Amino acid sequence: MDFGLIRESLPFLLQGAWVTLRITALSLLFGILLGTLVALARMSPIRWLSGLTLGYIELLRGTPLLVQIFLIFFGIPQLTQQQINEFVAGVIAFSINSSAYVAEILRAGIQSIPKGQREAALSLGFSPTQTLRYIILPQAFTRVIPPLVNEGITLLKNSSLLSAIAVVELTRAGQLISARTFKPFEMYLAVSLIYLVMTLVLSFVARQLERRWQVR
Amino acid sequence: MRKGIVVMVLMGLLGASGVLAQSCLANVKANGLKVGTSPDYPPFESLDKNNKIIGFDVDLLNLIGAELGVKVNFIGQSFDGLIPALLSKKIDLIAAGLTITEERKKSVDFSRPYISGPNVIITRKETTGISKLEDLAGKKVAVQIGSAQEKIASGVKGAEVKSYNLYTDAALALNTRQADALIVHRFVGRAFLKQYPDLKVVAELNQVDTGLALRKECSDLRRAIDAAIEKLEKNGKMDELAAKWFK
Repeated sequence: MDFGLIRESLPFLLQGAWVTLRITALSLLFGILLGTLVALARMSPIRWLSGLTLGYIELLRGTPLLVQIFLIFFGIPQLTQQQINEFVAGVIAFSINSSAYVAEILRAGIQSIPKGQREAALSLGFSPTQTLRYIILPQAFTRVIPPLVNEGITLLKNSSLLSAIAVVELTRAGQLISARTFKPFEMYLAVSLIYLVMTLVLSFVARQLERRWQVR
Repeated sequence: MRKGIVVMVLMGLLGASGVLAQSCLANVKANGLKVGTSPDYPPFESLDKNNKIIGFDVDLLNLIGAELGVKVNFIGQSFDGLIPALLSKKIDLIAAGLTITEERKKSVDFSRPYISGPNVIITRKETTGISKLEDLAGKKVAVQIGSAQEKIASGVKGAEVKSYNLYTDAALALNTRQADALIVHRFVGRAFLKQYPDLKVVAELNQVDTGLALRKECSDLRRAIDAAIEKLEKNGKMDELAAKWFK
């Protein structure tokens, strides 16, 4: 075991971890925004709209994330003749992919709110939009924090797939060093510990949020 | 019971020392030669239509195997994992168009060089203003992770090095405008040019030697392989192979 190597390469690994965090945070943010729209469309009474979103969700859940990343990174430039930065390509791929999962999580959350609440709000004079905005969604979001955090942790770990399009995130940083030093064990050990620290922090924050926003 | 354990430990130690004492050459003669390669580097090695590994290195190793009287098995895997696989004895030898570098020599031994040639810079045909290494400053340069060319690119001040798992991905990135230039061995560059007609060679860099890599303790195997390579050079077989793959 070469602990000196781990210490020596820590700054470079942490730079990679910072890229991993940024990709995860941005993708989760866009994934939740897009996913909310998808969830609402999925539950829409308009038949073609809910059918279309069902197709969207199945397409994204039914194909490997790595393939989706390659499609965007190598595919978009081929179609548009435009360069696409690999970081941006990664965030686009992850946001779209995540929106499908978030949509299903949210749909479950929204459907878990008893029907009576919606009926009560409507009879009290709330418009359907107001009912959604002030009554249903706030409660639904609180309920889905645990699965959303799960999605965040999945995203964080899956961001390692971006190493394949040369984004120097945490996994790639470790690969680059081990390719130079031929010491994969030390590097991947350090890399997994850094991932673990990040996911543990994420779980901790989520538990705090859950406690604070608990339905009383 | 305790006696039994002691006996087992002793037998284990004896067995282990037996393996240590056994030469690499004898081991390879008994169990076949396990050759690690990364088949994304035509014409040194690539996959044919039936996903069989073919290329210069494959033909060369089969000739060497015939000289030594050993069976040769090829194991395809990722390029950056080849040296770790060699060091952890998963494979006996690396034949992957590997450039002989001082850095690699610290970890492995190289055979007698079997090919010499320059690295080249490749761009798209429409690109102008890149004619030497220094021109890569501020440009995205595609290479393979862990390659000698990655090292060259990293040495250019201001160049943005993009390291891909596969060399074929690096070439694809250049062709789809995701990178501005590619540094690769001349022979491999030629193969990529055939595949992507919109690419061109803009500069030749320093001459490098290509060799087979072995574990340092396997000097007996290395000497046998060196002798085989020398024989193939003398009897013209090496030139035949070069004509077949590098034309």
